[in-house]
Amino acid sequence: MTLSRSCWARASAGVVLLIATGSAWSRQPDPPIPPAARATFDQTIAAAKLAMLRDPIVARRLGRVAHDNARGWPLGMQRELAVATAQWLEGEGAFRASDVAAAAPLVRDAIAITARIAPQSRLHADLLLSHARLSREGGRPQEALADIQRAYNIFSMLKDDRSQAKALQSIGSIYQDAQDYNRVLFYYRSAEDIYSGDDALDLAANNNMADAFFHLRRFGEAEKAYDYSLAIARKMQSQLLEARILDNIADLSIENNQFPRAAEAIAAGLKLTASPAAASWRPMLLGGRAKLNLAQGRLTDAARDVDAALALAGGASDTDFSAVQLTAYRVYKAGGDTLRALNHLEAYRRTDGQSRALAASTNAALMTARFDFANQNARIATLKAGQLSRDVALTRLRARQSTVVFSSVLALLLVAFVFLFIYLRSVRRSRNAIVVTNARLAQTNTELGAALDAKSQFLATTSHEIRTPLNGILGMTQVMLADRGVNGVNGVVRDRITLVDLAGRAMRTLVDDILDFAKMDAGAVRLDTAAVDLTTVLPDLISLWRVQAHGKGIGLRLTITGVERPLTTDPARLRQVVFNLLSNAIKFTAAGEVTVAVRGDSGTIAIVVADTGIGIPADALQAIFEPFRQVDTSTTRRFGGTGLGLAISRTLARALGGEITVTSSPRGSVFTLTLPYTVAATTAVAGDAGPATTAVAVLIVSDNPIRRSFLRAALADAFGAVASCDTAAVAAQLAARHVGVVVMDLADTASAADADRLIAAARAEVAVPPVVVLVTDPRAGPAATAGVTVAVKPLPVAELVEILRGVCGAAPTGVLVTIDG
Amino acid sequence: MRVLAIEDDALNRRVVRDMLLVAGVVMDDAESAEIGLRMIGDDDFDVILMDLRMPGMDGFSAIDHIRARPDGKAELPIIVITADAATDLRARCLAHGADELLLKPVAMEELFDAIGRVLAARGGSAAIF
Repeated sequence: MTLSRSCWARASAGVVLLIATGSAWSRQPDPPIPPAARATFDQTIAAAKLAMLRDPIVARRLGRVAHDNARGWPLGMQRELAVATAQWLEGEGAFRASDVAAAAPLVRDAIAITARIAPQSRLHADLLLSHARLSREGGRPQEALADIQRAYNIFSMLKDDRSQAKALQSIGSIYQDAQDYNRVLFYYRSAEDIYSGDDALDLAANNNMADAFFHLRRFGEAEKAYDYSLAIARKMQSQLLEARILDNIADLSIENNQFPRAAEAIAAGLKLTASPAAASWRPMLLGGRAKLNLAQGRLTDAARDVDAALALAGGASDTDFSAVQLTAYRVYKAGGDTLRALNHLEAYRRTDGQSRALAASTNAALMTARFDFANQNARIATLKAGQLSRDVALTRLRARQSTVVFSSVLALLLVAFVFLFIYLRSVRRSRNAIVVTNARLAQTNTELGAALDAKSQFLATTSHEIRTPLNGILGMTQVMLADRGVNGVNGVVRDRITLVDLAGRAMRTLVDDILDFAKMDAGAVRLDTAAVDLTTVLPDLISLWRVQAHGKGIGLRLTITGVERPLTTDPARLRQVVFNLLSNAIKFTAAGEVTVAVRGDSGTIAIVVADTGIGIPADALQAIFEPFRQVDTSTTRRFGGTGLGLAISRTLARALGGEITVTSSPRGSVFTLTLPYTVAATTAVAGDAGPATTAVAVLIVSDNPIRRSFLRAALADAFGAVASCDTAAVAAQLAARHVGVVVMDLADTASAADADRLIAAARAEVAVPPVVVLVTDPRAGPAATAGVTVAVKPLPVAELVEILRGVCGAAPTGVLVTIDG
Repeated sequence: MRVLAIEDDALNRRVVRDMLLVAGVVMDDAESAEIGLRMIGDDDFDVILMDLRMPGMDGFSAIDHIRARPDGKAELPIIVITADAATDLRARCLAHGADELLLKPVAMEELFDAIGRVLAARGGSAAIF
């Protein structure tokens, strides 16, 4: 069964491709073509197109004639396009007549011409589709998909819905090879969403969807779709297509145990094959009858039909005929003729193309991502357009309803009873229409939501697939840069690795931003509000940028006025917005300063980030809030960034009930974030009381990063503000701050002399607070002098807390310090 | 201190191992949740690093298995490390009993901080190593 379905898939996809070329050459003025030659050419081309569906051999010959005609034209662009058009039709005809070897060079030559002189034309896109079919036939689905994608883009640029639908159908047919039938249905349905109402397209859509339903064993739906395609084939008066569909209906009915229906379809099909147009399908129908007879246990009849089918096989292509080969194998095997059976099994295997399906499935899977994304966007756009027109319809209906109401009331005043009846009826009718339209609108909304979900899902998956290798890259760069030992890297290699590390971080930001933006695009900004104290949150945030600002030699200032009480907002989102604004301000400022001014009044809070940077041209002031926009592309090269930051920030600001505005001059830009000042009811304040802005009670000095984190976390409960640094920086850290007590965690390899030297170095700068030294080996500890306590590891945290309290009282106090100033 | 990383991807195991070496910690690893659970039974670890998407048993089930142990190892600190950025992931991990969640690509400082935090969070039982 598998076979007859896929061969039909190949054949019917061919039906789709009869399309009018956009005669690009007719608009070219130069050089002049003799009118008689032009007229003959046009007529030949038209005739070739007409013949394509019914008799591809004739179409091929006409294409050849047109080709010869065009070659007699004077040299020039018109001649080249005419040659390409003729070659396209000739190649297409050859392909449909199963002469792939002849078709391939014709299509390739024509594509080379259009790619050169008309790369955006419909002719080029049509040729790409033809080429895609050739690639598909040759088992190169990824090339086929790439061509279809290009064709699709051209069609969508030309706003040619019908051809776009055709391209989507072509994608569907590739998934047929890959036997991914759910996707087949998806693409054919998407094609229908974009365009329907054309016999050739509808026929292909219904047949191939029927095949997909058949494979998914949704027989009822398959039958309906086949019946519908049969009706279209009859309307088109194509006996060949009718015969083929009847063959499929028979196959479905056999599979579904509806033998009378199968017999009826085969009989009707065989009758059609009496005409020359459908004669070529006779062997396949005879094979179908053999299958039916076999299914019903009539072995002799089955053998007779198989013999007859095989006798006629000469005219049928291998692929079309492979189902008959399988039936022949089964019939002969059932009849005990093992040798003949095996011969046909071999023939079947040769033609089956299962390996092709396998390759297609792998390759198609690889390409899915790119396609689904493009297609989702197409679908979303169509759905949105549909929604718009339904919105309009709804408004009109509402207007009509009010008109009905109004005029009926007027009528009531004149002739009460007669018009009351009409009134009631009209209102009911309008209401019903509104109910129906509303239901459709709801359905569109559901579909739109589903499409958006699919898009977000796609992005989430992509993000996962990018993060995994990126983890390897960034992991190793971090390790290399952190390693100061013998395996560490230095000099120019270190610089190079730093660059890899920076690039990797930039990529991480990009992935985060894109995902973030996709979630927002899908309307999923989830807010988590809390009481936020700006006087804590903003200094913390700004401290993150101090090093960078300092490195560029620009100042960074924060002023806060009128914000006495916490406000209610989402702290993480607020941080994200301000962080983005600061990032931009510092990035685009070469000299001068960046200031953050916070002003609160009764109803709003304004956070104003002003820089003395390069400024933004007036005509770009709105565009910078659009996704993937920077002022110009050279900006991206100079300053990096994803171009999503401001789009995300504005979306977030609006989600928080506020807005971002911008003013700019060549002397700098001012971004203002306004937020509603909803005063928080509770006194609990979000935002971590990190060591940056609060008094440092305990300073931990350790060269082991995990021990630093551990001690910070373990001592925070008892002492509040705990800061840490590694040994190399201890002197500088001590000089810069006033600290309650120092816990010095000596490395296992450190000696007493090391500890003494560190303490002495610190003492030279400032008066050192009490020091507690943690050692593994007591002999390695520093000399116990005044203000120095030695403790031996391992040591329970509770004990260390006791020691610290003993050294400096229950609450060691320091003064407010800022980190990294 | 002993850390066990349960992670099916060899490159990612290597990344975490080398990062921990910077902090002087030698890491054990398991390439599947099944192997990891066996190692937890046989050996004493201080912290478990757990991937989520793995062939066979996934990270969520592995966390459930650890938390369902009858002995003291049910309380082992677990840090989830994943490339999955789904919106509700953090909540799901916490619901299963994970202590922390780190998103790949992992910053080394984040990893160290997370380990320090989960160790300290074990409160009275924690000792300075």
